[in-house]
Amino acid sequence: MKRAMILVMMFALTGMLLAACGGSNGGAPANQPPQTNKEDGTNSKPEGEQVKLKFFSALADRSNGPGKIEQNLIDAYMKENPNVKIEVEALQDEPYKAKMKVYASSNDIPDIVQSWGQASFIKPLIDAGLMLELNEADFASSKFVPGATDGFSQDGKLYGLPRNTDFFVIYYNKKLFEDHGVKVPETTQELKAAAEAFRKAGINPIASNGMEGWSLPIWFEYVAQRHNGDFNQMDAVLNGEAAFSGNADFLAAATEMQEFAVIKGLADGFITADYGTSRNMFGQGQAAMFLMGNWEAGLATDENFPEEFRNNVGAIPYPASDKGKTTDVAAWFGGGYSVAKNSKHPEEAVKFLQYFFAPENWAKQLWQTGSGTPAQNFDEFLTGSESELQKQLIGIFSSITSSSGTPVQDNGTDEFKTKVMEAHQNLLSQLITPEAFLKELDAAVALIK
Amino acid sequence: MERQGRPPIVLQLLLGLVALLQIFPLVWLVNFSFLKSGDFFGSEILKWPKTFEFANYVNAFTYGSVPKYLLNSFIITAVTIVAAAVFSLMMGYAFTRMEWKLRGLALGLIMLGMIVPIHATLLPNFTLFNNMGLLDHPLSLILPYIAFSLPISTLIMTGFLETVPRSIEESAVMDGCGVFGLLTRIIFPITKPAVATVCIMNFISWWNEFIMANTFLTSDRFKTLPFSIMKFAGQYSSNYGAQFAVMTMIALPTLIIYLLFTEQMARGITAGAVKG
Repeated sequence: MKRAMILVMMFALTGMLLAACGGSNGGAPANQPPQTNKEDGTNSKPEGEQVKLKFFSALADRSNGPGKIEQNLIDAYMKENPNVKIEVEALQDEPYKAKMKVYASSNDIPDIVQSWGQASFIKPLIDAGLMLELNEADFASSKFVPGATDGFSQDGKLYGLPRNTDFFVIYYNKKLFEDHGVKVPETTQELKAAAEAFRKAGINPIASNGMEGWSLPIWFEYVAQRHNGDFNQMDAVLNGEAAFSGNADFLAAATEMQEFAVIKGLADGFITADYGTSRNMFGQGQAAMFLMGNWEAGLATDENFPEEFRNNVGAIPYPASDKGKTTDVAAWFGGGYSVAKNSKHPEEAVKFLQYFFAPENWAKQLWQTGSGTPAQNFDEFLTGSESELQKQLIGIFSSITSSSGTPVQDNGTDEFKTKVMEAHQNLLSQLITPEAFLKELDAAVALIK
Repeated sequence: MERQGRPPIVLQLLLGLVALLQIFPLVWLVNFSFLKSGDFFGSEILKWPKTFEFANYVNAFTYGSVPKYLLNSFIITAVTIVAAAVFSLMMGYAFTRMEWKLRGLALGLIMLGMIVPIHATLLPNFTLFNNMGLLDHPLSLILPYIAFSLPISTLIMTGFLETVPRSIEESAVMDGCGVFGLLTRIIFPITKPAVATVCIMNFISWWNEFIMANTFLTSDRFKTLPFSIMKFAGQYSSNYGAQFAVMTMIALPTLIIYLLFTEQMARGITAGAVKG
């Protein structure tokens, strides 16, 4: 009996192993049909040479917002050009950057990749000769706004194209301001006063994603500009022409920023809040203001939030001071695309990007779906039926007289970025004095000289 | 008499509290999988949904491709744990019962595998698989999964086998049993608790594995369950409701297996630990 049992068990074990192995082979075709059908569909009418392009995107969500538009344009392009097949691989920011490093070090970069026009991302790739030089004239009809391609250029050569214009604003909840009789801030003093008033009323004043840290340096750029009246002063420091320490304006700015922490002007637990936490806090009406970029135009239409909030959300530019105006905006050009130098079909990749950036494609769809602000001229696509929030954002955008350019922390290596963000987090956690904060920033800048 | 009575009330309360703490994350996970994304990060710890958002689960099954990824995950994990169990059993036998040169060295080498961090192997493996044409293939996950399972699995197996008296095998040999017969008819049935332990441990390690899957897989065809969560990750904020729905489904098999085999597992580990 026992032997029989053992035999049965032995067979069961080997059976499992075989079934599992067979499954891995058999499972694949079972999953395949939808894909092969697609392939067959495109292959059935071959026109010209068959081309396969690999497209590596950092827009992981393909069913909402920019990711959906990107996918739609890719699908439409494949339909119009049956000989081209675009394989999309989409990962979220951090996994994307990690895998990009693997691709780069094995010299196996996909044909078209998402890139950021920021030294921390694109410079090593350009320096290693992995990015294809693009011809600016090829994209003349895309009508990029002036300066949009600067971040993607090195030594006068173009290596990428930007997708969005990003700028920082203050979103606010009109109802909370009215209910508590707080004046919507127009000056930096009023912003502080508003923060104090809300704290007194037991409402979180400003929501911010302090844990991730990247929004804090952008905020500091604003505060500093309102003290010295010139965004370029910070660039001068980054270029090694000046220093943060010993500059009275920067010190005053750092002190003012820390003041917000002292008066508890930031939402409770802001230093441990990530993007979703701070956004939801604002969306649930628990915070009066949300310091964030223009890409949140969708707040007014996001059905995850109560209707009362959606009808009451507005955007204002960062308040003015005697030196800085509300038209001085922290604005930059964010993510975009580059083509790999070792691409087998560079012309086809460029052709696709031309299609993608044709004004009626990306720029129009991005704007009209409220998913962001294109880096291209899109005046002709204003429909007039934009949400109130969108109109306020476009008002801020079209009023820009001077802009900050690439966010401070993105001007250098990863190490630089981490140091800069940590310095801001420490300042706002009141772990260091404003003087020490400026010293830490200088130490970070020393890394990229 | 007293021993059969209930344990003291303090102990019961304490244990109840521990149980509650252990179960809470699961309750929270299931609870929030029925909420709208906008309800997350609110002031309540648990929140009774105004309307149950079954749409989260619908999204997970349709856009999130849960069934397809679940099958992929299942196949990859199943092959891995079966192979790892077979290899570690055979190696455990070879290390405890057979006398051969370099035995100590070989065992040491395999144990060294425990100190290799996964991240250090990503790039070399990527290059290797790229050259072998194995990228974007289930084997590119199964092979490293098995390799990373072996050190700890072998350790448990050798530990367990040390405690098994040799006399059973000796009598089997006298009855004319060969080496493979010994393994399959004698050793395997005796070491079942250890085999179960090894299988469950490996299941828990690889069921959720993401970093290798993320590096070696590109096409949708072979992707595993964690990718489903990623599909709901937006550029800035995400569809948290759907992500929680996916996570609930990822957690289920682990939970079921754990509940079914928890006793076996405890036996396997403690038996192995008796002898140093």
